[in-house]
Amino acid sequence: MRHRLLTTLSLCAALTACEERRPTEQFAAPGATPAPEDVEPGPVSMRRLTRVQYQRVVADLFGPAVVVPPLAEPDVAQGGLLSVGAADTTFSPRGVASLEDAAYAVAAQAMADPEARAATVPCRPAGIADAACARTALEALGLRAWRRPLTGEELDRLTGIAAQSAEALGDFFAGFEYAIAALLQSPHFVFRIELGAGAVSERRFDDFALASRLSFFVWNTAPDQALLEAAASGDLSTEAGLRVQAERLLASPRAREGLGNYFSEQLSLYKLDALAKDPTLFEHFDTELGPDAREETLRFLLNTVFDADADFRDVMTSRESFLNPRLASLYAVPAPTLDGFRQVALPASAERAGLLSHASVLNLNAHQTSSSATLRGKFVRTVLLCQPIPPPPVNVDTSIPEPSATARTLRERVKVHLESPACASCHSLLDPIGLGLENYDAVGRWRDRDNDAPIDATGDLDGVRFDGPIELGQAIRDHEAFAPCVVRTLARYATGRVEAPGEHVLLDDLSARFAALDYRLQPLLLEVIMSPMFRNAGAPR
Amino acid sequence: MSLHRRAVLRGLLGGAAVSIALPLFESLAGRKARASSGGAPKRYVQFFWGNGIQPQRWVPATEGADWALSEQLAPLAAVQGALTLITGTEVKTGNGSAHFSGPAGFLTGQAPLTKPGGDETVGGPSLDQRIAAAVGGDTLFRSLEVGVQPGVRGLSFNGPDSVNPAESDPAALFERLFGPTFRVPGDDAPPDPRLALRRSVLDSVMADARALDRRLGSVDRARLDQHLTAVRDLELRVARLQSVPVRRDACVRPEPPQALDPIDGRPQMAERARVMADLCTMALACDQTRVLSVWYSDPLSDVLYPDASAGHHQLTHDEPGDQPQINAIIQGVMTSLAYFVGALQATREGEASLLDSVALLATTDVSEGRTHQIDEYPILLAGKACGALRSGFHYRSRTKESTSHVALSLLRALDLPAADYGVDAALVDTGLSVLEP
Amino acid sequence: MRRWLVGGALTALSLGCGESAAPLDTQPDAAPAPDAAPYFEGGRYVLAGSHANVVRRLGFISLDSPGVAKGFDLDGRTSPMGERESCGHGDLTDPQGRAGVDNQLANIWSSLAPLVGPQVQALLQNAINEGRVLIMLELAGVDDLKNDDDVTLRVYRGLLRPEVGTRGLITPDQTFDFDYASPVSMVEGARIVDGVLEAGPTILQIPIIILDLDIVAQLHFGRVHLDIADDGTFTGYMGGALNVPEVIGALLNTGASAETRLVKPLFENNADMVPVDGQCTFMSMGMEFEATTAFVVRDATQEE
Repeated sequence: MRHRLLTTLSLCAALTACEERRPTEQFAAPGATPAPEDVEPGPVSMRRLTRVQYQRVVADLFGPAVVVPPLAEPDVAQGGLLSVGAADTTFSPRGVASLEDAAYAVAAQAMADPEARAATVPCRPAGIADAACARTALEALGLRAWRRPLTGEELDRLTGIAAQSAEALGDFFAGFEYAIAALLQSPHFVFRIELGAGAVSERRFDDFALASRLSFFVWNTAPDQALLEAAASGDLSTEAGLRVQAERLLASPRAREGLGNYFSEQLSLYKLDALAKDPTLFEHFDTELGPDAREETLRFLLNTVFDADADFRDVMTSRESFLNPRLASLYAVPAPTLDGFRQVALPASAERAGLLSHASVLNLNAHQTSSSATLRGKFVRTVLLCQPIPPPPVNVDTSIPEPSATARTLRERVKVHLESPACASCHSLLDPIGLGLENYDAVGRWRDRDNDAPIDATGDLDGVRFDGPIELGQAIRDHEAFAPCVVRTLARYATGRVEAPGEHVLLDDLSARFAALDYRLQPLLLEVIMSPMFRNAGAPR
Repeated sequence: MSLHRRAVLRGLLGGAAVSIALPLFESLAGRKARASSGGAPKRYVQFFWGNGIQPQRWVPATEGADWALSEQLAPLAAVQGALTLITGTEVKTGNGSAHFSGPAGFLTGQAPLTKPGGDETVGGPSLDQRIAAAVGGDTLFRSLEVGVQPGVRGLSFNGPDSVNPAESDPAALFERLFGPTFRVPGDDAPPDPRLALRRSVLDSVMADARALDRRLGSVDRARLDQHLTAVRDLELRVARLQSVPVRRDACVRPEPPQALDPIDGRPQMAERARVMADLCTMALACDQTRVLSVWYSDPLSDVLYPDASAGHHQLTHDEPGDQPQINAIIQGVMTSLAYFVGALQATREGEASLLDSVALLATTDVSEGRTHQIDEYPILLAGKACGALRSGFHYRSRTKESTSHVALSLLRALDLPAADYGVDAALVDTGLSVLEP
Repeated sequence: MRRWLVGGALTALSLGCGESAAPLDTQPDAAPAPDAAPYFEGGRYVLAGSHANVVRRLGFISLDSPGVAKGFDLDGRTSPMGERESCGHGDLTDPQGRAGVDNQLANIWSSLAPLVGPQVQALLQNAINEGRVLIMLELAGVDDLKNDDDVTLRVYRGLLRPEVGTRGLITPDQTFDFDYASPVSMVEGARIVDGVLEAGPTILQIPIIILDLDIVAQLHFGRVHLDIADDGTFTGYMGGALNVPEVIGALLNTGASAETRLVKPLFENNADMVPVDGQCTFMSMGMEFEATTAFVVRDATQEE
């Protein structure tokens, strides 16, 4: 074990950095608390469609026959959520080129497939450049694509493109492709323009903006015809009208897709597609493991929220999960079916309960060749308890010793993190948690020994002792920061932004409601939608 | 402007394509004159790899024109004559963000920007994009970002939160550069009439953006502006596709690349680097772009190299002793760089080699990976930029000069009228004098 | 602690069907089991108190050195070379020094292996990996996997299209169906001592499906040796004697008749047990294997 000389500055910086983030963090700043309606809402931003949203909206517009090419422009996370990062990103030149390619690919398929074509252009064109037919079709398509009625000028322009292209190519539908391409490349399509209406002080969202916010939150796609009609008739500007539509969307099976996307972002499940582990060390690993692991976690969480409508905190301790044969063999339990997923209750001796024992979480928060106490501890602190951890100070030797006769297990090897004061201030918050999960190796398989030494999975989470992952899950479930963190992350996802300083009182209010609802997430979704955080519009950013 | 184009449409498709396209081409030709009078245009090439080097094996013992390669630079023996090594410089913008402070400070001149949620981005455009803004207007692609590690993102920034993601799939890159839209230089077939229709659509998109602009707040307006710029770029590129490509000696359509699947779950980094180097060299030879960045791996890259016992980043922190595996990995990167520089050198343009017109910067995100330090910053240059850069020596800074001096010299070598570079502690108004003739 | 089994809510169905099933395994301090649907559908269940392995690598035993090979003393005699009872073939000694080992195939295989070893090995491995030859080794009535006076060993065929992992072998802990259409070999009252089990004699029925062959090889005087590791995996070997005329006769009726005609004299000349009219009719052999942990699901509706 070697240590480099540490500069005093980094020592002090590190010490104060982690102590500021002790778990007693409250949301609201001390002082006078305004009434919820008077809270200044955070600024509104236009948000770029995420890659998943782009695919879903296009699929909604043109039907299942159209294969949507993936966009080259990557999503960016902010505070761990892609939907919040969407407020900061734009399109690069390469992204715009990819957008153009995708737009033409979609348009060509839409006009080639008879069903899609009939649905998009319901009228029979009377000649090569039937402007009236084109205009009618574009009016309906534009409303769905841009999530608002098109202005006269916009319709004129698009109809003109359709007509000229039709004349140039000698065919109505070939020409119409160019109008579709113009619709799909417009910033009105690729960005969600959800702005306020009226004076800024009114804090009112434009009705179509509210429809868009509601639909993207609950279904992760653009509003359907019924929601657009509700927006057009002004229903959404009343509390009752908004509630009716919110309840309709929440009751639909599409809500599962929407909430599934939330969990996928929160837990970074989308990274499981590119999961890489060293196959020479882990014989169970193959390219299907990541997607299967994601499927298990999503089914489990969505079942808890929608089917069981249970106390959401129980996701940390539940002995139920959804297994397919591959996951069953990874977990060393019998496979409940010959193929596909089935919900099962794992008995006590299976040593698995709750989210922390899922292959998804265990794989994502480990290295390619070994487990990681620090990464798993960081996951619990930052994602489950909303306690940010600052990055390590620079100019510090961060190596841990290789396994040796005197230090065989990871617990023994990371002791150096906890012995040096500069490292311990943060690592004492992280490593003990991750060490409690050491019985799960880098691919999530149970082991009793590490380098032929028995694993000690005891530890302490902010004063609560635990022995092993099951007790750790219970400690997290009961942690005072867990439920408020659920609320805060959900609110950020729904509103697409980090909460403004004054809005902490609204988060506290939502947390209280969550508790009063016995911590059921399904009704919490409605509470978030009806909250001023979601309904009120701040100034444009 | 858009009205003019719509009127032009009819004429274009009536078959008078070439004559109406010409005026546009001429206005571009006027800008071409800004390039070096030697005939070959100047190019900027950037090569980046993640996780740094090992100073004790990187810094050579000798300096000046007769310098001997150090252990980690030994793979570059065949092209040593074209190299310039700068050691001893330091990034001056502070080191608060491991792996990010270094490249942000060097390549954008400022410290990273921290956002409300805690995430970070850059404060301004990166070096390659500043150069692209000045010289990228004459080519099909304003700039090209290419990756070696599958999924690498790269650090080519237009501004905060606006990255130009690298293309790391060789087949997709080939398709983009040499696919159906590639026109062999000298090919004077009439352009596809649909190009004009595409431009009309892009006009409409830009009109949408301009109408939207008025309703947004200032931050969003800046984002929209970037989008608008990107669309305009695309429109210019489509316009260029309508014109006749200029004859270039070394430009031929290459063979499509073979698939390179991972072996035992590990990506074939060296082979991918060679394929990308070949495609990039040809793209430069065909003058498809004059600003190219090759992202071998990202900062914090944890790729599993063929004989490594753990991911790259994990090894920098966990491999004990003098880290022989890390040494092997770095030498592997240098081997790939040597291949690339060699390919540029071997491509003839008239009397000179392609490399002679290039200013190539090879750098990384930290100096020693294990400690994340950003002094003793690794900077390797190649090429002469048509005589605007002196080359062929090892310069060692004894006073920890700012990396900004090197950046400013590069900007000037590409004929940018830059009075200074960097902000706050990284602000300089002189380049590195040894580099300037 | 890791090994456990579920009998499920199907106790009612499975009782009285010859096998005993146990209810859900619970520990006193565990969280109460939630109301979930039964673990398996229909009459499917896992035998409580049993530990199963699937053979994932199989090979013929070769000579370690001249006269030395793994195997068993099948006929209770140590036969020197030239003995009439064993038709001239001498017994071998096992690597631990025990004499009287009957394993004539080891002699043959040592000569054949350089010529056809890899091909046969590949054929066997393919057959295993594709699920055509899945030999399940199951210990039932186990109180302690390391030391137990009375366990029941069953050898039977499993059914599954298995997952093959990065080592080119079936991955651990998969779930196989019990093949009710195949014969089961059973030894009751077997003993495990310090993680080693030796069971037999019994008739071991080994299903072989390779190329066009779909036969059950009967190993008479069969014995099984298991080394049981801490993680519950078995390695070991099994041995017995093939009834040469019967096996040859069966093989001649298959698509492998040409190859059979080639090996017929080899087998006849190396038969070393059960002489009839001065000609030995059985040939001793042994196979070694590597197995890994597995679950076996039985189906109560297929049991009488």
